[in-house]
Amino acid sequence: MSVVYSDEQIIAEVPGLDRALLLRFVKARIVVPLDRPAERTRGFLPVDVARLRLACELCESFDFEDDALDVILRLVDRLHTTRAELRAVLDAVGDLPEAQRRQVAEGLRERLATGAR
Amino acid sequence: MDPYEALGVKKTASAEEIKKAYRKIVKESHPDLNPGDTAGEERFKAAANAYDLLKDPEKRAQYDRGEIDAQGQDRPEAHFYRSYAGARDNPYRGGQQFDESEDLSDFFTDFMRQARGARGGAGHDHMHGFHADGADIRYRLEVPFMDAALGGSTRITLPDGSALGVQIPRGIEDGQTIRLRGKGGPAVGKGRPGDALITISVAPHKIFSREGDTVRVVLPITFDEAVLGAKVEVPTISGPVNLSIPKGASSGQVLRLRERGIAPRGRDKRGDQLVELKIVAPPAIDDELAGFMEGWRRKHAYDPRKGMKP
Repeated sequence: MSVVYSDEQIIAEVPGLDRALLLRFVKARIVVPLDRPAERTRGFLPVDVARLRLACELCESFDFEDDALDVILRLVDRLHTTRAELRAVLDAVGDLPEAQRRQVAEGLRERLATGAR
Repeated sequence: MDPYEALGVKKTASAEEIKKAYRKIVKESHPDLNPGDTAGEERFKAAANAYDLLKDPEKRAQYDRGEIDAQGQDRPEAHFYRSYAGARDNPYRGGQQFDESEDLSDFFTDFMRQARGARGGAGHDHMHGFHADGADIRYRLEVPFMDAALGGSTRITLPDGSALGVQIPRGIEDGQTIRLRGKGGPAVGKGRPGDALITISVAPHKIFSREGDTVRVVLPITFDEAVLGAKVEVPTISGPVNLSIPKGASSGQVLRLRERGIAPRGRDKRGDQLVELKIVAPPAIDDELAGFMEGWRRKHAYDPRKGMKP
């Protein structure tokens, strides 16, 4: 596991983030702090730094309120998850023998052409 | 690059116009919102640098007077959310889940069902009105290395201050998620309450590290153990075991202790433990050792760096 950031450290790391904004984002569950019972504290990971940076950028650019921001970030998560899954499917197809690969490609083309769900 | 050009505004643009231009580029080109668009990414990076400079009236005035140039910091990839977003261990993604009551079902069917988004049920019942399952609620929990390796239990604190007991399944890995049925959001009507989804981070250990089911340790040994071979005690996750160091061992050599690693849930067979040897010099080199080595070198010099000549 990588570096764990405290509240102070993550505030210093993310441009535009202050204590009030961090509390707001935690309350709105835009970021979920890492519960660390063994250390009797909570923390954040590098993924949270990147996520908070994006949240701050979106807030600064569009003045989103918390619910709207939450909706956007959930869609971003879905988008990236779906892309990662698609990539995994394509990799698995890529490992198939040539004849089967072609079969999958044809099946895909047909489905996409007819707009099947 | 000229920051005004990067944002596509005139030098005389107002602060409002600059913000509007930046907002347009964020909307169309932010790499986290538009993955895969490389041209857009370049546009965004240039615009973000430009906006950092121009949004600050003082810096903008300095730039206009030619006192500072537009050199912005190029943003490292690690700062974009997309480099985490699709990763298996992204806690906001979900990833692989452990479920107390889960049967091993057909992977492909499961994957298709998930991909189509079928989960739970909501709908109208002719007789009794509307019912819907409660929402799932996400938590994140750091667990000690040993609890993750061997299983254990802990508690998480809920936002309302109450605590929830969590059983940690043996062999759980960084980024995996425990699903606690019915511990999430409340249901509507006769729906089921949602689940608590707890994504695990495994805390590092001071001697053990881990790759999947394999545990790794670095084992310090003495000069004489390396030269003569020895039987030494090595810590494993289930207590110390004896390991034979072969005669003539080197630093970096890796020995394998079969089935001393982690047994993931649902499997009895344990992974292996890898032991990397590290020769440690004695705290002080006495005359006897130095003298012996000098004599030995005269007759038996060898070159371990032979293969390194380019």
